[in-house]
Amino acid sequence: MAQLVRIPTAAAATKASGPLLQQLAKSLESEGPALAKRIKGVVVFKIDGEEWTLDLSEDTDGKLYKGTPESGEKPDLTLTMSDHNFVQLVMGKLNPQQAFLMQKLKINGSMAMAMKLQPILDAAQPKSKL
Amino acid sequence: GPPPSVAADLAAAGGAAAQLPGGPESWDAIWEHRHGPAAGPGGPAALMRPPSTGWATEFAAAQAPQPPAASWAAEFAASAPAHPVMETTASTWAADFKQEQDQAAATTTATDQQQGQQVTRGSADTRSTSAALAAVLSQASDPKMRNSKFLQFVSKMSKGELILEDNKVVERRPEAASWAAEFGQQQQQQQQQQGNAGPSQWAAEFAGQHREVAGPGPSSAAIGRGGEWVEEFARGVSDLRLDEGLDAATAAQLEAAWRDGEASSWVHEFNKGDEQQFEEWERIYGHGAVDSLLGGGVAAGMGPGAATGEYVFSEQNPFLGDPDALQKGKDLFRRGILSEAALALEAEVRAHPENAEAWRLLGTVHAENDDDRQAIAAMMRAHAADPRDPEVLLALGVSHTNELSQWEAVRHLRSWLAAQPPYSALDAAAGEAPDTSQRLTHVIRLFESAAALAPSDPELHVALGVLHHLGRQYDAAVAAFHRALELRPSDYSLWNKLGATLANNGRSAEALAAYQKALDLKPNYMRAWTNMGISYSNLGDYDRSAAFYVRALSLNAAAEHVWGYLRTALACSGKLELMVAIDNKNLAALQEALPLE
Repeated sequence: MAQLVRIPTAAAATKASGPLLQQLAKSLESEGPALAKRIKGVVVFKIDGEEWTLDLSEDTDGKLYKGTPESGEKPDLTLTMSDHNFVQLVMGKLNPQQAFLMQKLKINGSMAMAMKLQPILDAAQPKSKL
Repeated sequence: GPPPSVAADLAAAGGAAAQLPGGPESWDAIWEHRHGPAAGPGGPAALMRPPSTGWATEFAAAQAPQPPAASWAAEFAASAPAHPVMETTASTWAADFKQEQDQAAATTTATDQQQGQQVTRGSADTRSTSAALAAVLSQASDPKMRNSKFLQFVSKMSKGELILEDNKVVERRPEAASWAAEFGQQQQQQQQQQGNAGPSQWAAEFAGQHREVAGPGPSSAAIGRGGEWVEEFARGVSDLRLDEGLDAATAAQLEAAWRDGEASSWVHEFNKGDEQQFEEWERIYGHGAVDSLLGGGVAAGMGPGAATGEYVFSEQNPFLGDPDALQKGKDLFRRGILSEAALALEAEVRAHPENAEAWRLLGTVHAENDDDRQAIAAMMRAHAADPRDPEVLLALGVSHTNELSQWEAVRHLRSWLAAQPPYSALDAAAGEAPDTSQRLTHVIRLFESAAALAPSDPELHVALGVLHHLGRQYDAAVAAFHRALELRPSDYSLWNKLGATLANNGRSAEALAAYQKALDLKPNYMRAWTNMGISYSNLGDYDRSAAFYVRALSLNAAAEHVWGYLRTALACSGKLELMVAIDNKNLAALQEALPLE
């Protein structure tokens, strides 16, 4: 079951990405296992200095929580960007390749995993309601 | 050019093929043009993966008689001089690599089969795709291709030997990495005393030297140069993504940018611009009132009842104590004044908690006001009063689907079927699925057999559509909703369901048409306004998207998640000056700044 830890933040900087991270957490309830099968690792998002851990380790259901990895281990992939660029990435205004080349997105870690970013971003998009 | 999602949606809407911005055709476009979307891979080597790796197949096919069509292939064939020593090493190495990958792939397939899973299109590993590609290239007739740095690059990536450090591709050699790390630790202690260069810099230098000395691998000079060719490979190899599909418009843009050859200075300019922009956002964001980060999301505005699924009453309610509250609630609902209707109905159920009809209507109002949590809470009260009410069960199925609670959705829809006399026998006979992973498929088959019995039951098709949507079989869902609409063309909620299904399947332009029909039938249908906002964002029209969210908020200012969507739309449209208005929930200012028509 996906978790989303609610910690009030003093910094206002990540306001636009908030709802998207929430949608991502919710999407994990149905898509988490499938994403974990593809990604098989831990991704950390550093959005305006705030860290969010997306744990898609193999054979898990996937979870998203604020802060660094609970296990204390180094993540497989760390993505650093501004709140603004995170939103643009998720919303498709910017795609990962552009962001990468324009240095709007800083990537550290597994390149192979960085190539598989799109399904994670898609899972964070607002969904239309029946 | 248009944003990538616009291109995809335009194509989907059956319009003219997406116009690629000026520049060379992308590899995917070449593939489509030559082979058509339905064609399978051809060429000498059988690729393990379907069409997204089309360009690789295209290249393989092009090897024998024709010159390679893809531009990168031509560049590599021309550029890499065949080194006599490397020739032997590289081709032997390529053969070894292929063997290794074949073994790895065989193991993976066996494991998947053991687990009884189908390897779907989207589940394949980049590594195995790289392996397939390497296999194709190593069999290519041109020895230059076999020796190419690209092949080696692909091989290393597939083995996980390449990592990114601050956006630079770095080759990870196990010996170098651990040695450097050890040294780094020692250096750190010394550095504090001596103020030397940081250990990471030293380690990088070491790794660089190590690469030069070692065997076949991308030359350190190539990597050290900032890796232009490496980045191009990264782009090329990223086309091996399987289920995202090639982004034709963006790929073409990138190719054009690379051909300009000024990549490094351009990146520098972007960096500079970025810093200034970021300062501006900090200034603006810093002024905002501080909600919790997640206060802007779905959970905001929800009291303690939210976590337990209980209904949360509004504090201020002018209808409290009004004996005509129920009738007023019904009138307000008919007139489409949803938020007021909710208050009147709340007053009714507070006075008469056993009034199932009022709870049910309250649930409907909340669903139309785009609040599935409250809708579920209210519907569950109605359900408690009458567990077989089909309208309640269907509504619960829909709301749980929206909330991505698959188990609950299926449970309620199944109860819906069982509660209908014509279908209860069918439901009883069907029993349970052999295991939980097949539950949804089992229930879908059950509903399909019911639909065969009663093709003119519109609600049955609605339920079937919802189930298909749950299973992400969007084409089947669309077909089911179309059938329901043939039977009930004036059902605004049905048009919205059709729209949402199209939108969730990337057909946002068609979705807009469906939402428009819903709004023609019910102008204050807040959910449809919100959904239109989402579709406009999907299509890349963020200004218009924001305007639609503002309209939705004018109908229901309590929808915290829509305030959040509005933020994302404005962040993409660049209208950052309006963020303050969002912080203050200043609808008047937003309406003025973002008018519709």
